[in-house]
Amino acid sequence: MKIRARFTKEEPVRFISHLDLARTVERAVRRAGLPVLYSQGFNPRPKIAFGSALALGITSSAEYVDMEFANGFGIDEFLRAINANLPPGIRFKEAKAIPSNTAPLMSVIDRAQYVITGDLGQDGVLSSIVQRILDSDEIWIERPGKKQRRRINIRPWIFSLEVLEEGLEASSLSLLVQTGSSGNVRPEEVAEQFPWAAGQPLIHRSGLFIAQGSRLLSPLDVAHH
Amino acid sequence: MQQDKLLDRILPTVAKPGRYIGNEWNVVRKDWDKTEVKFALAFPDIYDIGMGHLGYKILYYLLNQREDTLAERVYAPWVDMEARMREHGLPLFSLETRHALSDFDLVGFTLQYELSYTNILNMLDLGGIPLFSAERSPEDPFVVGGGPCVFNPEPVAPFFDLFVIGDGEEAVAELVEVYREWKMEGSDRKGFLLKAAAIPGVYVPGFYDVDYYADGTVNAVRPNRSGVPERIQKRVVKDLDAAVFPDKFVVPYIDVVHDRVMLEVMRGCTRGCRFCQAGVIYRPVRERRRDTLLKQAEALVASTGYEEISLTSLSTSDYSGVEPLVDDLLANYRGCGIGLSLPSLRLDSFSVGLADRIQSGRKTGLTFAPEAGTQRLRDVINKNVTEDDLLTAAAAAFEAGWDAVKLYFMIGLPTETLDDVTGIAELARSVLELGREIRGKEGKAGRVKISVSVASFVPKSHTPFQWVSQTPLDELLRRQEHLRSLLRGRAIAFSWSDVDKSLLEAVLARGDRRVADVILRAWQKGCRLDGWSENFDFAKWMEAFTEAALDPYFYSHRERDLEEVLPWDHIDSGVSKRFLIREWKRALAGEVTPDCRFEGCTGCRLCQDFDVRNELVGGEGPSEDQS
Repeated sequence: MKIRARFTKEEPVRFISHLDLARTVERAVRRAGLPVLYSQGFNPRPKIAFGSALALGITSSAEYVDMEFANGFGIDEFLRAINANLPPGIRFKEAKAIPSNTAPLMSVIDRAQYVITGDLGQDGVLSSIVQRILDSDEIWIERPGKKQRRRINIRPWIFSLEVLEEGLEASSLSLLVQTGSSGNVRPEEVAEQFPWAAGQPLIHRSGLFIAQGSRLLSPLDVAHH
Repeated sequence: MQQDKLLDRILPTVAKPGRYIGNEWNVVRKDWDKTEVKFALAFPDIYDIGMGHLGYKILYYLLNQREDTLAERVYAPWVDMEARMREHGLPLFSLETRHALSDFDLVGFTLQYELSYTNILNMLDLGGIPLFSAERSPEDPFVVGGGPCVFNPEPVAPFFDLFVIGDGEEAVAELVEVYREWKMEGSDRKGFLLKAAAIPGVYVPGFYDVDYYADGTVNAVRPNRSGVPERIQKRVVKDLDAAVFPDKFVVPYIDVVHDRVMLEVMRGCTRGCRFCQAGVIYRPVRERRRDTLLKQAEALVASTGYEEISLTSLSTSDYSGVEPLVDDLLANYRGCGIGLSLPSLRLDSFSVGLADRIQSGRKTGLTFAPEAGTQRLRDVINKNVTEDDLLTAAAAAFEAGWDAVKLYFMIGLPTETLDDVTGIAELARSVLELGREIRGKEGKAGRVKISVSVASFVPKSHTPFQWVSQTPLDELLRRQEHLRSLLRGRAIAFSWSDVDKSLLEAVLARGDRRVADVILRAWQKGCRLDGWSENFDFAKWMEAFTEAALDPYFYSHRERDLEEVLPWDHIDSGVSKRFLIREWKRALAGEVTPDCRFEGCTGCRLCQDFDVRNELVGGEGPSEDQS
């Protein structure tokens, strides 16, 4: 039985890496006594595959994972068992049984949605910068490469940028960007475009999607029996 | 709350913030205000190291089992985090409830390694606790030390209120009882320390004065009041099988050392290697029964979800029930993706056979520790292993499909000559040739790789080598260079240890109470996390020695007279000084001493004086034939 599930990564586990998160979920599956399958070969690994990796420090309500089990059980039973064995900050919210030949999450997810919240110190800054980004064709950022830093224009991969709240103390915006192997925007790279007053803004991943024409589908919607 | 907000701001700016978030699976968080005794288990290194320490897992469980006590974990911050904490005035806090170190009643530090001593000062300072026992007021916690290094606690004695010498399971519980009684009586700090000093195994350094001769050697260490023992006998848990062991481990989020189920199959080792302090201070050998270990494994696998079980002890292939235990564990867990590991194996084909059976993944590497390069020197150190043993074990490993073998040696051992050092290279070459021959049959001769890792010998207290001088640094460097020249080539990788670190270890391992001043000065100059090469600053340590007007070589490079009063003579490991002297003389004569587990009593006096004995589950008595 193959299960696809959506889970959250909130405080305080936003401070652990993707690898740490993966290990934590694997151990919770084992504690829950769920009959996860293992890969063959020298170093058997549980058949648990995650979607797009989330950078350390970012919270999320839209993490996805596929798991394969030796036998079947109810989805409610699965959610109860796994949630009873997870540390605070990680919660499985929904799940469904999917066909075993469903394309892996990594290969299909191509859109990510984020909410960035922080303090900009003054009114009007957020919307003016948002407008400037939307009006321009190029937003150049630098990424560390193997030998030297690479300059990349991320603007073509920003599909929407929206002011959610603009105030003296807190401002927030939502963004929809390209993610995956065909092009990728890190939310920090967009956040860097704004002059946050105190420290770093909080970034939250609110959705991962698969684009089909003009529609955005959830990874749970694309897999059907 | 304020503190939580501050942490939220700090954590995104430091490396591996997962070290500081707590909230791990199986964490125990008790009601702070409703719990009588608050015990901090402080580990003087970072989370990544401290979380792997089995002793604290035992104490965490044991203390939190008590209704009247809570135990919380505290680790040293990495340098980036320390800088942010100091900048924001955030005190060192516990991971469970984020209370400052100074809020606790008792603060325990485990002394595992000499180069962690400056971390203790740094943690006390960050935690808001006065560094010196004598400076602490009634509101301050009592600072308690334990672990192997407390068998010579003198270099850190002024910073501690008391030490627990030996096995902690019973003594720490007694300490909590005494603390409760004292709190009800409401007497002063000294009142508590006097009560604590009456617990067997507890050493209150403030109750002892040290007199020195003009030449700097110790004249005497004497109690300065009545009611405290002349010598402090270590604590021994007689029945390890019945001793408390956790059924839960806190499961970290981030990658830490020894992140797995650990089963302590036995405590103690009587092989009698003459350089080895652990082989003295953890005596006698006490084994746990197989059914006890299987029950512990079952509970821990279920409560942690770990993917690996490791059988820990000083020498796991010596555990008399190792084969049936390994068979049972493999039968129970191999099918569920849970592996087995044996970290400390003896050098023989039996052990290679064990390693082969438990190996589930790729055969990455097998480690052997011949320790010395020639039979003469191995006899001196009583490492009862021959070249034949090594080659037989290595052959078994290559036959079983291993390509890589790691060999551990020491240089600078007493009586060592350049011939002995050359012997290391010759032994490594023999193993390499053997590997090429055996693996060559499968056309894999080119894959054979030998790693030779060479540490510098550091003389330790309570061993037959406690009187010797460390080999001079330039001589150690020359021997390293000699080995490097002999071990060229792609098939052999040679690694060595930093001789400056070995010198400092040697000073701290056999230092007296005056060395505390050097540790204080080094810390004031910014030394901390000295065990980490990127932080180790030898020049600052040397400045600290100069300012304290102490000569490091007096401690590291001086051969002591056998009659000399040693700074740790009042700490009683149970192994008599007369035995250590006899062993030293046998070493010089190249005479080996057998393992008392298998071949009769060797006269160390521990069993007679402490009313204990080796407890083997296999039923082997000391005088029974082992063939």
